[in-house]
Amino acid sequence: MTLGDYPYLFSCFGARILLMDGNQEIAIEEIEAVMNASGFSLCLVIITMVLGLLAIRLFLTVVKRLLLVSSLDNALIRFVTTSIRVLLVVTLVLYSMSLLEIPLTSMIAVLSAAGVAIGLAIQDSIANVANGLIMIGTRPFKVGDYVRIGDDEGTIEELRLMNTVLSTVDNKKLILPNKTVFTSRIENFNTNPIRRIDLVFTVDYDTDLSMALDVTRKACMSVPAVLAKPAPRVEFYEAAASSLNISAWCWCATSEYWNAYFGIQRAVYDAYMEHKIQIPYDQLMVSMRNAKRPAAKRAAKATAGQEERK
Amino acid sequence: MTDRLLLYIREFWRFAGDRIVNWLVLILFLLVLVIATRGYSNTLSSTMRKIRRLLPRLNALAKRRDGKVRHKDIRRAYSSSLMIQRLINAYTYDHRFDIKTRDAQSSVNSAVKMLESFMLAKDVKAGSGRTVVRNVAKLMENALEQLK
Repeated sequence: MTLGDYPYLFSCFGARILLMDGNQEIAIEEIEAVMNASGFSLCLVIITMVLGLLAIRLFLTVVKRLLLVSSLDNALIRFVTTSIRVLLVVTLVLYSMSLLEIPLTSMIAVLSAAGVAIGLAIQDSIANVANGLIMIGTRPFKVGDYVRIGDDEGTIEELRLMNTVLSTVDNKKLILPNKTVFTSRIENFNTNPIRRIDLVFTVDYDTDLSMALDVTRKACMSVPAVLAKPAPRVEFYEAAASSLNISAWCWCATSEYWNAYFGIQRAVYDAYMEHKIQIPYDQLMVSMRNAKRPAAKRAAKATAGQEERK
Repeated sequence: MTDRLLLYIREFWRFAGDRIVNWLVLILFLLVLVIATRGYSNTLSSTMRKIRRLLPRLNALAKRRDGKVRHKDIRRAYSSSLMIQRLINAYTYDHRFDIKTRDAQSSVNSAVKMLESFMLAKDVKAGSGRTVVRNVAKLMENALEQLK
């Protein structure tokens, strides 16, 4: 820096506001000594850090507000804002270190090596986070859906970055790591608006089959939760060992599944009772061929014995 | 002493004034953006205001004399509920450990799901539209109570 530069009040992004200096005499050596003092650099670093952190905070406030009005999931928003914060703070620290003329090359090399070591150490956690991000993006299910993941079943309570929280039917909380969830078979019972209920009813062999089918069909359709379209399908399924089996396929809204299930069971039972259709127990028919009755056998022996004595 | 201090300040300004002014201009710009987006942060009051606007419409639908709820009415209720859901999700971002907020969010999610299922159903029984609207109104009332 030389004193031959035009004096100016301040410059902003390259534009300089010129100010006519007074007739003040300044020793060049004193100016250079002051300028080279490390105290100036330290002050500059402190001011840079304070102003930089304030700017980062304001920037993240704006980013968060804009992301919240979008349809992005809250967990994803949290991840994005945290990542941006970490990135900006690290950049600010490195910039501040460059102001103190600390060599950055070795620092970046150390950080890279540390990153690799940490990555290897926490690779499972990173896998959970990565799978969590993919699930939040692809949305195989959302909060409120009833799902079966592997052998676990429940309602999705929360989708976190590292794990997924389910609430079971008996009110237990299941916390599954996202890596497990992502690699398991997922059954979502809520994706489609309607579901089919498959039931099998048994009637006695002596029952009039046509009448039984008609009664079953009418009973199914009488349940309010059962949809008229697609219409219920009631057919003769099989002639089993102890009974005639009738299958009933009924459709209902997904949210009404259990109401429809229990309603159909009760309606069909009541209809069978009303029409005196027998619901058989398990039974076994035994037929004996070419065998005399024991009493007749004994009588025949006794007669033969008496005749011999005579 | 004073002259020396003034000299240090002046020379520091010549040394670092550019950078400091750049930061200050950047901060000023971000402050303007923060003030411009302040409307997005009033999610609680916006949520409650929208629920209060939706409830009378739902109650009026549920009491329709002819008992007919048109698909258009359900669609309007659905879009209003989606907006409420978005607002309450934004509010829950900062209040996710508050039980009442989570309860309100759960009620709104259930209401939206109920309307969604009704809109996607291919065949509905007579009178079910009114039932859905009544249930949605109850859920929204519960959400409003939790947020108060």
